[in-house]
Amino acid sequence: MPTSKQRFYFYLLLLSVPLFFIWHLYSGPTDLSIITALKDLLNGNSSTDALIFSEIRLPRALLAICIGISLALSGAALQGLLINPLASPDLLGVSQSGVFAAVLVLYYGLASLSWFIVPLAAMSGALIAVAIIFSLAGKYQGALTIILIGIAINALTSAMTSLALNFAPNPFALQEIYFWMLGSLSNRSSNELFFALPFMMLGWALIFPRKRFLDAMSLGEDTALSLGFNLKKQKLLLIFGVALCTGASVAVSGNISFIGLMVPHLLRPLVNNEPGRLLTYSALGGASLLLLADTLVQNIPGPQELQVGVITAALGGPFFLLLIFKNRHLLR
Amino acid sequence: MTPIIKANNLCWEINQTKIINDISLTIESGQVLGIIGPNGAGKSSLLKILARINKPQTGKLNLFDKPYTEIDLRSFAKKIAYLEQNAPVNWPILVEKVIELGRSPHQKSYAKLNPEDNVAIKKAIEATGIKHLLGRVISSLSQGEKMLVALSRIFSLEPKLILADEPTAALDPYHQLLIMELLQNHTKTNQDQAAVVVLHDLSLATRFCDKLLLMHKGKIVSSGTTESVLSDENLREYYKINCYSDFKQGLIQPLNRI
Repeated sequence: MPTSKQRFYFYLLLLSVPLFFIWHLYSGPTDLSIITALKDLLNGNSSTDALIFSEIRLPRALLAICIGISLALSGAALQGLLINPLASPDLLGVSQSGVFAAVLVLYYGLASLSWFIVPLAAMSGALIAVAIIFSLAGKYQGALTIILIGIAINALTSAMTSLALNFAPNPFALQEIYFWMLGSLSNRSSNELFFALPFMMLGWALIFPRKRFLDAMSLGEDTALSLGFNLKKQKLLLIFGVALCTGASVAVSGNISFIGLMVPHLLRPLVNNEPGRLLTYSALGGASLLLLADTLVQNIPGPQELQVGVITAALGGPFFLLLIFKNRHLLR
Repeated sequence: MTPIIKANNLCWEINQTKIINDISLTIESGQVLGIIGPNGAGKSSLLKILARINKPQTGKLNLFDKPYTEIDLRSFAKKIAYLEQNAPVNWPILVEKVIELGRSPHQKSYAKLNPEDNVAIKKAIEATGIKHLLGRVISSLSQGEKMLVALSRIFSLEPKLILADEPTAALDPYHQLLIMELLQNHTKTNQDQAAVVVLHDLSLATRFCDKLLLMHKGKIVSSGTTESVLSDENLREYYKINCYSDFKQGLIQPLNRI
C-alpha cells in the first residue's frame, strides 16, 4: 500500500511530465508563440510558426517523452529481471550495439539512401545484441552470466565504434558518428517519431503486464516458478520488450546514457523497492527527466547546441554518486 | 483417499551424474513427511523435483492422480507451495509485500487484492503471529523472523502441500520449534493438507515428522516410522555416526563419528 508521502511524489511525477512538456515546447532557437501556432494549425494556415511547431517542436518533445519512457522502463525491467541495480541497456551493451550498427551504416555512407536506414540499423543492432547475450547465456541465465556477457559486448562494440571513428572517411562522417555516440534529439522530425513509436509501444505493452512477475522475481527464480510463473515465457517477453524499447530509442536519438540506470535507481525508494510498481514510476520519471534535460540543452547558450546525452551523463553522474553515497548502507 | 503426490521411478541427472536415482514415493494428506540424509544425498534436488522446479528425465509424477505435465503452472502453484532454503528476498521490500506475493497464483493478471485474498493474508499473519513485523523492510529482520514471514507467505496461499527445504537451518532453538509447530499444525488442523520437510536436525525429525525418508547418494535407503528409519544401524551406515536415541523424549544426540 502506498503511503500518503509516496502518493504525493507520484502525483508530483505525474504533474512534472505535462509541465516540462510545455516548457520544452517553448524552448528553441526561435521565439515562437505556441498559441498562434496552434490557432494557425487549427485554421489550416501554413504559417512559419505552425510549421516550426508541428514539424520541429512537437515531434521533438514527443520523442523526448517516448524515449524517456522507453529507456527508463527498459532499465527498471532489466534491474528487476536480473535482480541487480546495475543492469541497464547501456551496461549490457544493448544501446552501444545499436550505436555501432548506426555508425557502420554512416561509415559506409549507406545513410544517404533513405532517412530510415540509420534507425533501422540501430534497431537491428540492439535486437542482435539482446539475441547474442541471451543465446550465449543459454540455460545459465543467471544475472551474473548475463551482465558479464553484456559487459563484454559493450566493450567490443565500443572498441569497434572507436575504430570506425578512427578510420572515418571524411570530417562530416566523423561528426555524424560523434553525434550518434553522445545521443541527441535535435533535428528530429515526425518521420522519426512515427518510425519509432510502434516499436516502443509494443515494447511497453510487453513490459508493463510483467509487473507481478518482476515482484515475484524478488523472491528468487525458484520461488517465482513455484508461484506459477512460466519463467521462460515471462523472461522472453520482457527481454523482447526491452530490446524493442532500447532499439527504437537508440534508433532515433543515439545513445542517451544514464537514464535507464539512474531513473529506476532514483525512484526505487518511493515504491518500497517493489520492482513491479517501479515500472510506472520509472516511465514517468524517464519522460520528465529527458524532457527537462532536452529543455536545458536548448536553453544553454553557446555556439552550438549541446548533446542531450552529455547533459544526462554530466548531471546524472554526480547526482548518482551522491545517491549511492547516501544509500550505500542499503546496497549489498 | 488419493495421495497428494505419487512419484514412480524418478531419475534426474546433470552432466551424466545421477543426482536422483530411481526414487518412488507417496505423500499422503494429514502428515508431515521428513526427508533426511547426509549432505549431498539429493534431498533438496528431490524437493525441487516435487515442486516442479527440476524436471526429472524419467519417471512418473502425479498430483492427485493427474500427471504433472497435464496441470498448468498456475493451478499447480495453487496447491503446492515451495519454501526455498533460507527464504531469500532479493530487494528490501516490505514484509506485507512478501506475504501478498503468496497470493499471486490466485490473482488474475495485475488485479488488486480482493476480499478473499485479504482474508487469507490476515489469517496467515495471525497463524504465524507476525503482526508486529508489518511495515518493516524484509532485510532488517532476523533470520528467524524472515522464515516466519516466508511461512506466512506460504500459508496465505492456502496450499494442499508445503515443500520446505531446511526451514530450521540457521535458526535459534525457539524459532526451530516454532517453525516446526506451525508446519505440524498446518497438517493437523486440516486433514487434507500435508508438508514435506527437509531436515538436518534429527531430534526435530523424530519429534515433528509422522514419517521419514532417509536418502543416501540419490536413493531412498529407508522409509517409514521415525523409529525404524532412525535406527542405530541406519545412523551408523549412512550418517557414519553413533547416537544416543530416546524416541519417547524425541531426542537424538550424535555422540561420535565412526
